[in-house]
Amino acid sequence: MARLVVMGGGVSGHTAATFAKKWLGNDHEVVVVTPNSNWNWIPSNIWVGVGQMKKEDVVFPLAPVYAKAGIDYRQAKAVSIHPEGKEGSDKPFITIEYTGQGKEGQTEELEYDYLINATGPKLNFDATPGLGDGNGQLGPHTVSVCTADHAVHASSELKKVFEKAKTEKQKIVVGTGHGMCTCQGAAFEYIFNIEHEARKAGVRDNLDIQWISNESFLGDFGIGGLHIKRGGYAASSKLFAESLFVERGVNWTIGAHVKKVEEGRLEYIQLDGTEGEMEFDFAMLIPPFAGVGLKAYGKDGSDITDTIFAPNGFLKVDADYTPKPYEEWKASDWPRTYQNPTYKNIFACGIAFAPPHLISKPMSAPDGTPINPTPPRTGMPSGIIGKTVAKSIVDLIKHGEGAKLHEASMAEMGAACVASAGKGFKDGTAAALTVYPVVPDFEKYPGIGRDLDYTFGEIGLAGHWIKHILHYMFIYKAQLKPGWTLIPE
Amino acid sequence: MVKELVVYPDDRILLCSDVRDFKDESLPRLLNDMKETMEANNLTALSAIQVAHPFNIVIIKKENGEYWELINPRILSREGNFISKEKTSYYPDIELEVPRYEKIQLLYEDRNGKSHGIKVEDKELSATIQRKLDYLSGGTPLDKVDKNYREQVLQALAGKGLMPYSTDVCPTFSNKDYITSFLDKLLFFMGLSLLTPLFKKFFNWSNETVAKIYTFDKFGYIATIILLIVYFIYAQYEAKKYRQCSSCQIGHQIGIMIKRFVIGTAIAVGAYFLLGT
Repeated sequence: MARLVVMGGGVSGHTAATFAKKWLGNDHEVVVVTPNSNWNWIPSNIWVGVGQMKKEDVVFPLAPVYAKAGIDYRQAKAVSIHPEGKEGSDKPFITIEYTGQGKEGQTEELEYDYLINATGPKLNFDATPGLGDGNGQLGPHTVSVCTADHAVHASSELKKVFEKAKTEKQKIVVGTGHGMCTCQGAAFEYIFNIEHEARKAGVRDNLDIQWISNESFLGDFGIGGLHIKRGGYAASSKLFAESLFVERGVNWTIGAHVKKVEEGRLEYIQLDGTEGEMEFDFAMLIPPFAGVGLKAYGKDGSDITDTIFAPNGFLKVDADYTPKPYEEWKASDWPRTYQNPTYKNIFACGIAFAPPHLISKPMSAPDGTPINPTPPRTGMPSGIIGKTVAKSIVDLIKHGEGAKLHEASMAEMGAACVASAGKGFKDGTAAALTVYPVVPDFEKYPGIGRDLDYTFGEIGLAGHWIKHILHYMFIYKAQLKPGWTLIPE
Repeated sequence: MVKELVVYPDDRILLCSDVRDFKDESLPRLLNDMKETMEANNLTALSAIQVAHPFNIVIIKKENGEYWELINPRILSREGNFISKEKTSYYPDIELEVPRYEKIQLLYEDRNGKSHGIKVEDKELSATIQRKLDYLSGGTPLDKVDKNYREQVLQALAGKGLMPYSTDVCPTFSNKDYITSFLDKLLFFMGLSLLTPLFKKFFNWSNETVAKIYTFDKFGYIATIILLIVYFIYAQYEAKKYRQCSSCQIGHQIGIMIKRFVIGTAIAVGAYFLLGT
């Protein structure tokens, strides 16, 4: 009997674990180690953040789902990886520290035959002074929608601002809190949902809503923009994003790295070296992501973290990490199997794998501060990668080490993105976009690097309905209810 | 080499992509071709896609005759809004009114790939750069205007209508409607006064009452003439403001005035014979 240990129970880890268990059956063991007791459908957190959904609508307890699936669930955080085992044993293992199940604080060694790192990111609030509290958590000056609890807090703070806006002007700032952030899409959705709710509440006229982001153009979203087929040609998401900002009266400042956050104000520097500040009564700033800080040790106890992990804390996989100038980046630099090159029984999926380089053009301020979106590995690609990795491991377990690994390169993978711009059955809006491939392939598709036959983009009420349907569909799928395997990632 | 300009309805304009490789030897050639095309067509600004090269390049001809090459330009922030009247070689012979930012903070690269930042504070230059940038994301300046206005322009370009003006939205209610509304009520009461002989007969109204009503008619008629003059003057102002609006045309206004003048005069004559004598 082989044991697969999955570190992380988010979109990719949960997908990998549940499919692996389904395919492996009871002949082999699947263990999920995650510090969270709940599964969170993160894309709907923005609706919690504007008070349109409750926390309970976007989370569900993991324990009963894993019990039903026959998955060994450990509510614990992974602390270190020991891929060569320890003295006296060649069996690789990880150490975990419980955060629940009545064993809080207890540590344990958990042996594995195969390991998937799907820990997701560490929300690195402290990367920007004042954005964090100095202990790695969200600071007191801003809010976040990265977790369901953060979104609940954001909603209550927003409510106070709306209340004040009935009698006085209020300033709202939404965007990215650092030059190296990803997930602009979540901030983009949140700002337009706030604008939508403000109009519904009749306080829009008293709100000055500002967007600040590290994108060098509106609609970059960390993937160099999306392209939409228009009369047989390609239009950039820039065109549509700019129109939306004008239409909704949202001001913007882009190409910006937030240097410092204080009570009611922030300082920033832009790509051209311009420095400025913004005042706010309410700010939602997405933090940059980093690896969760896992350590790795050799058999003799030596620190081999650098062998397994990239400097940013994400796991090295089969990507080409050789530093190259932007014009030499290739689609083939991107990983295909997500297998660690040193330890072949370790894989990564979702945000936890180290990308070879950015997708958007690398840019920096004159003082060298890098200001560019980092590649998103969330949503649809992270689910697909999780399933692919599970398939590979199942084949390795069933057919031995010679089994061919399955592949899912982000440079050969499409993604659908539905970005909400306001919730409401009759007056909701969302932009529904597809992009293929996620990572542009300039050799295969000269010019924009994308295949126009697989691009689509529309904004409107139907997009909102799709977004809302997806909310129920993906929670249904994650709860492993009948027919869950039929729902795509 | 002078290149052929891409002109509406050629939809090759709907393409975009950044310049990635600054070592590509075709880049300086394209920049020179663009300049020669600008000279030949007497243009002050040109996007590469306007000569069918899908690269994010804009060239601006400065007042001193120098050319300013903007590669992969991006607007990082902006201030103020205004309506800019613009002509562009893609839509020849028409003038568009497009909302633009007054000042922009621009980031761009030169032909060697070196980044530069500049704050453009001149309104006209700012609008020109924004107009050229509209072509760089797979669109045209028409993507920046109001939907109805865009439809009207496209109809006009298809030969199915006149070119609209951005302020040329026919008002559903105009201030001059207050004047006609008041006039109509006044004429109604003046018309009602023609029934005074009947009221006098059935309700025994005194001659004094009849005289008061006749006085009302006299002042009413003078007020009608004054109001019609005020209406005409104000209507002239609106006729200039909403040039494409049929209800704002002079013929329509004269019709309204003649109709009310005739009715008012007829009532005044009737009142003179029925009440004044």
